This record gives sequence, C-alpha cells and structure tokens, in this order.
Amino acid sequence: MKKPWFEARPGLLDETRRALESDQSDLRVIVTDERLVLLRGSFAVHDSTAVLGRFQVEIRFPEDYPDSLPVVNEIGGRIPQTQARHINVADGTACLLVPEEWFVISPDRSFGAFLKGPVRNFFLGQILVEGGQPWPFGERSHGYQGMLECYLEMLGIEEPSRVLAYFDCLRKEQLRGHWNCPCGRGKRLRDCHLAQLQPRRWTFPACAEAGTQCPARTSSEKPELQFGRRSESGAPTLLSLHRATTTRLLGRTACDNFNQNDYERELIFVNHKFAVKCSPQARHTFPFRHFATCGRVSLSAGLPFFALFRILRGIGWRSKLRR
Amino acid sequence: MIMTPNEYLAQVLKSQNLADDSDEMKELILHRQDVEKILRAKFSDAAPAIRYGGSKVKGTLIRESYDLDVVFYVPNDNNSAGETLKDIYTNVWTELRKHYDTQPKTSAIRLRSRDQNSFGQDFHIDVVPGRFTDDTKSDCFLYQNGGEKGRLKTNLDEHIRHIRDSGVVDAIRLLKLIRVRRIVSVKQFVYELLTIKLLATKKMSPLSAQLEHVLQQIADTTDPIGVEDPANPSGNDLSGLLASVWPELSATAQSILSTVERSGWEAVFGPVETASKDELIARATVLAGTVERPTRPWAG
Repeated sequence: MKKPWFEARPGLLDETRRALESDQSDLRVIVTDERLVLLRGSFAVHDSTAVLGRFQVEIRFPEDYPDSLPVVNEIGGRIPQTQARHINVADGTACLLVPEEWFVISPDRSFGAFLKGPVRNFFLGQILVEGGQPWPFGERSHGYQGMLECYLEMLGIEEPSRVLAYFDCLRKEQLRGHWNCPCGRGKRLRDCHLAQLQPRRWTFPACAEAGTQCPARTSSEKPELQFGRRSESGAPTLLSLHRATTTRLLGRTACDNFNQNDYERELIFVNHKFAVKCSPQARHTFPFRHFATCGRVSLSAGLPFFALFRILRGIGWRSKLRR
Repeated sequence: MIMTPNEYLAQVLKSQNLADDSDEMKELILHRQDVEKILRAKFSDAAPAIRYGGSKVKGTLIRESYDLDVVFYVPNDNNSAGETLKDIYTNVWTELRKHYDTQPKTSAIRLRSRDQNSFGQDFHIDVVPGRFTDDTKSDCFLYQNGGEKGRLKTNLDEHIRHIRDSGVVDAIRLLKLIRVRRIVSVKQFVYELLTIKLLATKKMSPLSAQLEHVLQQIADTTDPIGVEDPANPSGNDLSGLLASVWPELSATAQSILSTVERSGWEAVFGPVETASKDELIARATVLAGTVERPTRPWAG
C-alpha cells in the first residue's frame, strides 16, 4: 500500500507545523483515522500589530500533497456561500485563485508561503468586501473565463485565441527560431517572441494539475522539469502538464459545474474547428499541430494539406476526423 | 504598557464583550423576533413558551462566537405541535426550513441565511424544541437527534443558574475562546460543567491560575473526567460526550500550556482586539497595499 504523503515525506508535515507555529498558532494539525491531514481552527488575518479578522477554517491536504494544493473551507458561517464571494456553492470550498497562477508567481512552494499568500489574500479580501470595499487585488471571472484570463496574464498576451498555440510552443523540447511565432502575427519566432518565450518555458504551462511541484527557478539554474512523456523520477513533464492543461480546457477534470458544451464552444473560439473535433490525444499526434495551432494554416488550406499527408501515410484519416 | 498576565486576560475578556446596543446584537435580536413570529404563527395552538437561552443569559457570551438559543417548549399535555418529541422537532424544523437554511444539530436547529446574496451566512440562532415534563413547566425533554436515548431531560433555569452563578464565568469565557479558536469539538455545555467542577476549590484564584489549573487537569488525565448535569443529576450520562473528544481536548490543553510556559498568555490569545470596524477596514486596506504577491479569487 502506498504510504501517505506525511509518512513518505515527514519533513513536509514538520514544515507545516513550523509554518503554523510562526504565523497561525490557532490552527491545529489533525491526522484522521483515514490518514488524511486536516488543519482546523481560527485563521487570523493580521498586520504587524493587530488582528484584522478571524475566520474558522478547515484546510484539507489532498492525498497527493504536495502535487495538489490544500483545499480551504470556511466553516464558521461568516462568509456567504455564494459565487460572488468566491465560494464553491457545491462543496463550500474557497476559490483562492486559479491554482496554476501560484506556481508561476511564487518561487516559494512551501505551505507557509501558501498560507501567507493566497490564503491570507483571500481572507483579507473577504474582510474588505464585508466592509463594502472592492476586492483588493481584483477578482477573476468564474469558471473557464477566469482560467483564460489567468493564462493570458501569465503568458503576457491579450488574444485568447492564442493561448493553446502558446502552450504548444512552450512544451517543445527546443524552441526553433524558424518556427512561426504563436502570437499569430505571421513572423518567425526568432524575429518575434523568442526572447520572451524562452524564460517562460520553465514557468508555463506551470503546473496544470494544481499543486504540481515545480522547481525554484532562476535564470542560472538548470530546470529540473523534464520533457517527453515520462521523466525518470516519475515527476510530471512539460508534455504531461500540457496534456493536463488541454484536458482541463476541455472540461474533463474537476470543473464539474461547467457545461461541456461551454468548453467546446470556448475552444472553437480558442482553436481551430478540426482541432476541437479531435480528442486531445489526437491533437498531440497530429503531425502539423505546430502550424495548425499557430494559425498559419487556415481551416480551408489546412485540411487538404492534412488529408494529403494522411493519405500518403496510408492512415484511415476519415474515421479519425469523423470522431 | 506592560501588563501582568491577569490584567492582559481581563483585557481579552473585555474585548470579547458584545454590548446590547452593538450592531451584531441588534441584528441578532431582530432575527430572533422574526423566528419567534414564525413559530407563534405556525404553532399558536400549541401555546409554546419561547424564551432566550444559551450564552447570552448564562453570561458566557463572547464576541467571537456569539449565539442566541431560542427555546421552544410546548406544554406536556398539548400535542398540536407534534405527538412525540421527534414530531415536535421535525415539525419545527419543517416550518423553519421554509424561511431559513437550516442545519440540524443534536437537539437544536441552527439557522442560516437562504437569501441569494448571503446564502449560508450564520444567523447565530439555535432553535431548541422540547416539551415540559409536567405542569410546573420547569423540567423538560429535548429530542436527541441521533442520540442513543432519543431524548434528554433538562431544566433550563437550573442549568442557567448553575453556570451564571458558578463564580467562574470569566474562566469559562476564556476557555470557550480557546475552544472556538481551535475548533475543539467538545459540547460547550459539557465543557462549562467540566470547568466548574475543576474550579470548585479555586474560585478565588487569579484568572491565569484558574485557566492553568483547568488545562493542567485536562492534560494530565488520560481518562475523561466525569461531570454531572445539574439539570438532571441522576439521569444524564455525559461521559460519552466527553470520552469521544477527550484525546483532542487533552492534546489542545497540553499545547496551550506549552505555549503559555514558553511565551505567556499573549501567545495564546494574541493582541487584544479593540479596533472598531472602520479602523479594521482602514488597516486592511493598508495591509492590502503591502502584499508582495497579490492573488485574485476565482470560482471554479
């Protein structure tokens, strides 16, 4: 049987305890009979001298921690259970942020940083909203739209239809200057966004599966994140992360409260029609995905080209396309 | 200003007062009136006695976890609210569900908002349905949701008197604050009875000594300390209520004592919270301006 994370990596639980002692001493660590780790108690939002507000919370560590972020529930009844207050109505969990964002903006992946970052920011926002103020750092749209906003911001682009093109580009083993730039302006990568994309390769797609550990990165560090389908250490690779992101965009993960059709409609907006018709797996095997997703080959021009290629390879493309 | 431990604890207690003219209390009383109106309109034939109970009348209310018990007791010979205790509980619950988001507890029904904009927000009101045992209208039976016996005999006045006149209300309030902040799942009325029992010979001791004594006793005892319910001394077995939470309670007590030994009571209760709502908002705004890595809430 697989050991629970706190036995496999006891240092993580110690780190959690230290973080609580120094910042949130009212939160207690509870290990349940089901071998899950919970934190329960009063979360205090404080400045240097005073407590500005307290919230009764339960923080659940997922079984695959630290590959997934802990889940926070406000259980004291202080916050209305509404989307407007960024609480998932179905299960009462707090929507602190689009999880991937944390892995891009924070070099520190410790629980203490998570507590002082998204958790504190969320409850600080709740205090202000409760007092009739706006969200201090703004708020994301709900559902898919919010994810898209986040991705755009992380990529530093404005055009939603280019998000998947950027994903495709960023996940490559190497960026080649003669490729078309994913920005869609029709220039070669070397003449366009190569310089901006290079550093982002290690941060994005950060960790499409919420909480996946990424190594701390500086420009001089060799990235530990590996390419290919499987890394030697079993850690996620850029390819697997990209797949997870695409799957997520297609709505096949935990975002159950969103309609599949909505995702597909959005994807049509984001990507080419034929790419949407294919499964994510098919998209990965499509030999000209690079051109297709970079928008250089339009639907009318791309399909005959694609068909010719398939015929030459003797593959039954009709059945695939129909699927 | 340097305070002694007892001065500090007195300040903490003061900061936990909730005045009758405070916004929270005014709102609470308004909600309570609404609840009473709903229950009287529906169960007018039952001629119920609807009264305040809970921490407000016991004097153990703290700002951080205030609530108002609304007891709804029907006469012993009146069946119009329901024939059995369970029927009464269910009928009251059914009526309240039309107006509130209700959360059934062991003997009470917790009320939360069902308004679209504030859904799930706690009103801090528990409705406790029950039936008087006889015409004297002193003892009564409460339905026990999921309890082994199915009912619990109690006497509201006796219970209130026992707590309010115990002479250790300050210690009870501070220990309640610890329970609330650490979310220890012990029943508050059992916790109060335990505190009174443990402080029976320490009523004149300073507050810090009282707290340390209670916590030390809980931390040092492996088996739960037995307590009697003054509202039903021979009938209610409270040992089960304590047994299931004793390890949690004991560990919490141990942790608090270690903190006190290491860094004093201020490390347990934190800075005294005296700022007004407006001041807190202003400070929160300043704090938001200093956040190094802002993140935006989402809704998946």
